[in-house]
Amino acid sequence: MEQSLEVRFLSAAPFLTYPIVCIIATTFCECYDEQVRYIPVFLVFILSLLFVQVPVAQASSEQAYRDYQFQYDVYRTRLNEYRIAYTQYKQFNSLAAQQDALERGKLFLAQRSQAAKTYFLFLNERLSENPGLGTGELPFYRAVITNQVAYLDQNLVLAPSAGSFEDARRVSDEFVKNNEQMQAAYRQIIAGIQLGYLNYFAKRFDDIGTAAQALVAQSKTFSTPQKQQSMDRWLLSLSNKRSLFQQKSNTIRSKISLLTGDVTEQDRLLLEIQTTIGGARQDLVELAANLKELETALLYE
Amino acid sequence: MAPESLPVEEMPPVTTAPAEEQPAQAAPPPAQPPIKKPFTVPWKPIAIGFVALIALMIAGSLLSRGGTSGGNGTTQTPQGATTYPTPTTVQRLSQIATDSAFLQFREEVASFSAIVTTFTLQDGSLVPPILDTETQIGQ
Repeated sequence: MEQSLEVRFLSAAPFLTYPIVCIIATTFCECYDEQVRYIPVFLVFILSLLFVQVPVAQASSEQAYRDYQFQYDVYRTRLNEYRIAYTQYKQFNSLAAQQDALERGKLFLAQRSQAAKTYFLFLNERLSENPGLGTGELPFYRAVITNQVAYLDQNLVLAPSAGSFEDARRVSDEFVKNNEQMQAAYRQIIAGIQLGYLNYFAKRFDDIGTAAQALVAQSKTFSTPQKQQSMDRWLLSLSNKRSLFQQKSNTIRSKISLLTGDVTEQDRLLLEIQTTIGGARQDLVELAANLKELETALLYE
Repeated sequence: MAPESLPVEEMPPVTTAPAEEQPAQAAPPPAQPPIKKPFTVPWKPIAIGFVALIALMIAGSLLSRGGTSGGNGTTQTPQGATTYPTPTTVQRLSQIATDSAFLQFREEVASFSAIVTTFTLQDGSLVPPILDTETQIGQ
């Protein structure tokens, strides 16, 4: 994966900083002698500590997303270049134009696989950052990504070796043959990431709900029967909402596994999943509102 | 008919005696120095003035007080609308309101509520790339 110019500059920043600090110190510090000689060294050390953090922070999904965007832009450029070259070949029908069109076509095929690959790498980073994916889901999605990246790598290697338009078409057909699985992998992972966030919120709610039950039990010793009934009703409402959320979560999980086959059908199913995900999120919002009500009930006598 | 008055020429002449012939007047008596009366403080006008001043001050203060009170409505000062506090029922805090467990519970509820309400599921960066599969190389 290519490093961006920004990252390379920031990595070199400490080494660029040292001479600058030395020049400043010798210019403005009249007593630049043995005692102050180590001041620039100290400053560079401090600055180095600051800059060391930068590449680490940028190695997250943001950096992966920038790489993907870059590769996707290059892909669109390669596609346009191939189309122009092929139009010129059809116009002039010369051997040079044919060779140029073939070369442009090979570059386009390779870049198409490269763009798809960097998108999967970006999804992989997003999976790593997701706090709600369970031990069973994360390996599944990682396996999907690994298979797809391996396939695309193979396609990436084959593209430059094509010696004719026939060879190039075979390489392209291999990519197209895998397209449905690739699109399914995209959609499964996207839905999985969203479900992961919802599950993370649900787990947080479970922890708060446990604390709420303990507090309600504690407050029953000194609260009126009416108050107790009120708090019990809030707990029951929370439990019901949580059950509704869990049902939606299970539905989403089962539908994710159905995301295969025809791309149009995948889109239709993904839309259903997105709707269910929206409903599950609404359940979480209502759970938060009910928790607020229970908190108020606990706060006052 | 002519009146009986005499003509102007026939009026008897008025004879005036010369100044030397008038008898000398008696010399005024020598001015005697005024007898100085002993200075006495005019207590009476001072007392009257003082009482009048006091009366004036009292009258002024009464008048000004009557004006600001708005009794006759001649000088009304702007007054803000009278506000009445909304009657609220006083709620007493429960016994666990100050417990550390409850305070932690409140923080977690606030954090959870903020995260859930602000979280957006639609992430534009997750939109998959649209890759061309129609183009056939060399055709």
